[in-house]
Amino acid sequence: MTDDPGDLGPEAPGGASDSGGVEHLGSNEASPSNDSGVDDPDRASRSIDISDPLADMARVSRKGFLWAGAALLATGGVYWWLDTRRLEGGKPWPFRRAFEVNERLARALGQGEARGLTEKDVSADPRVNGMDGLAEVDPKDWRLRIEGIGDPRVLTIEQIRALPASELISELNCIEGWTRVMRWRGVKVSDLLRSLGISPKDLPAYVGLETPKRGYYVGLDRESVLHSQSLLAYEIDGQPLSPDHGAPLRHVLPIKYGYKQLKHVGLIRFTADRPDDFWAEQGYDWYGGF
Amino acid sequence: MRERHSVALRWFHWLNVPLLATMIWSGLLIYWAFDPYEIKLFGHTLFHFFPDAIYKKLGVEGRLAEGLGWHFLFMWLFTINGVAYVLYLTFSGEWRHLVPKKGSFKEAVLVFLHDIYLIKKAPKIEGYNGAQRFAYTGIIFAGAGSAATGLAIYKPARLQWLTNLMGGYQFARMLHFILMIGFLLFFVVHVMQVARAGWNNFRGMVTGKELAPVEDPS
Repeated sequence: MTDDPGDLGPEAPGGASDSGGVEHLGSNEASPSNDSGVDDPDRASRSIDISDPLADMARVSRKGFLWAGAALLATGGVYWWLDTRRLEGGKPWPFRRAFEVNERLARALGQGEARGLTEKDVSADPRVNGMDGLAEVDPKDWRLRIEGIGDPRVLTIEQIRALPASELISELNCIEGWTRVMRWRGVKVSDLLRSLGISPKDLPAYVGLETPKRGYYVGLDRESVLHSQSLLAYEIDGQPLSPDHGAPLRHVLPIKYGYKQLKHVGLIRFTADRPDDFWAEQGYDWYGGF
Repeated sequence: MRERHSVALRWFHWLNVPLLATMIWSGLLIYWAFDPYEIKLFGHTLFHFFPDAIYKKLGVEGRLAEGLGWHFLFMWLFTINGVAYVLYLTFSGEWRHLVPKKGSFKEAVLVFLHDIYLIKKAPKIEGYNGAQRFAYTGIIFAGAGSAATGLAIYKPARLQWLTNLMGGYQFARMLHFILMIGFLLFFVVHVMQVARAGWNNFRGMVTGKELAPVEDPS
C-alpha cells in the first residue's frame, strides 16, 4: 500500500530504503505491509485482492483526486472564459446577456409599485450625487423637446407647470446602495402625454431622455415611462429644483435605480430602438428596474 | 473501506466553493460603494466594515459595475445549487443525517467544550455530531436567507411584500451583509475542523469513501 497519494504516511514509494522497524502512521488498519519485500510471493495476489481495503482506497482515491484536479482546472477555465469575452458596454458579453435575461424575467413578472411613503418618511438630508450633464440655465431659456411621435413639440417650464400636478413621496435608491426619501411635485409623464393628445398605445417600445447637450442620457422601456410613479418634477420638498437637483425639470421614477432617472431633462424621444444609456455603456445594467 | 458521501452530495458541496466565493467577492465589490456598517459599543466604533486599508489590499475599489455583473449571474447558479441540494436531502432521506435531533443540543455543547480543550473526553458519536447538525442545518437557512434578503433588495417594487417582510430595503441589505459574515465564519471554522479531523475525513468528501476503523480484537 504505497501508492495512495496521500495515505497517512511518510512511506516512500517502494520504501525499501527505509530501515527496518519503520512504523506506519495509522497502522491500526489491518494492512499487509509490503514495504519490506519485493520478493514477497503473495504481493501480486494481495494487491489485486478486492477485499483489501487499502488497495481499494488507493484506487478510489486516485480516481477521486484526478476528478478533483480536472474539476479545478475546469473551474479556472470557466472563470478565465467569462472574464475574457468581447466587451459589450464595458462588460464581457456573458454578463450583458445575464442582465438581459434578468430583465426579460422581471418584465414578464409585470410591473410593481415602489413603496408608498408619507411626509414623515422624508429624509432630512437629501443627497446630490452625480453632476453629469447638468448646467445652470435661466428657466425662461429652457425648453423641453418631445420627439418621435407626430410633430416634435416644444414646451416651456410655465406650460409644464400649468398642467395637472401630482405629488410623489418616494424613495430614491442609488445603485451604490444608499437611499433617500424625497417629496416631489410635477406632472406625471402619462398626464403630459394625455394633454398633448398622445395615446400610450401609439407609442413605440422605448424612450430616450437626454440633457439639453446630451451630457447624460437614459434609455427606458415604454412601460416604465408610463408607470403611475413616473413624474417630471419641478419641485423638491416644496421648492423649485436647484441646478444640482436638475433644474428646472427632472425625471423621477422610483421603480428604477437613480442612474435611470434623468436630471435636467431637455429631450424626450420615443423610438422603436433601444436608446443609448450613459451608465449602461460603462458596465451597468441597461434596465436597472425594481 | 465504506461509503461516506454520495456523488450528488459531493457535487453540491464542492460547487458551493467557487459559487459562494464568487458571491462573497462580487458582493464585496458592491458593498464598497456604500459601506455603512460598523460595530459600535457605547458610541465608540470598534470596527468599521471595512477599513480602507483592507479595500486597498484586496483591490476592490471602484469595481461596482463588475461586482453587479458577477453577482447577478452567479446568483442563479448559487440558488439552483442550493435548491437542488435541499431537494436531494428531502427525497433521499439524507436530511436525517444532518437535522438536529433529540439530544443534539447537549451534544453540541459537549463537542464545543471538547474542541476548545475544556473537557478531555470526546463525546462518542456516530455520524454527524450535534454541533455539526446545527451548523449544517443552519447554513442551509443562511443560504435561504441570503436568497430572500437578496431578492428583497433586488426587486423591492415587484417583490415589495418580501422587502417589507425583511424589514425594508436598508434592513434587508444589512441582513444580507450579516449572513455573508455568517458564511465567512462558517467557512473558517469548517476548514479548521476539517484540518483537525484528518485526511480520511477530507478524502471522504473527495472520493466518497472512507476507511472504517478496524474493530479492536481484544
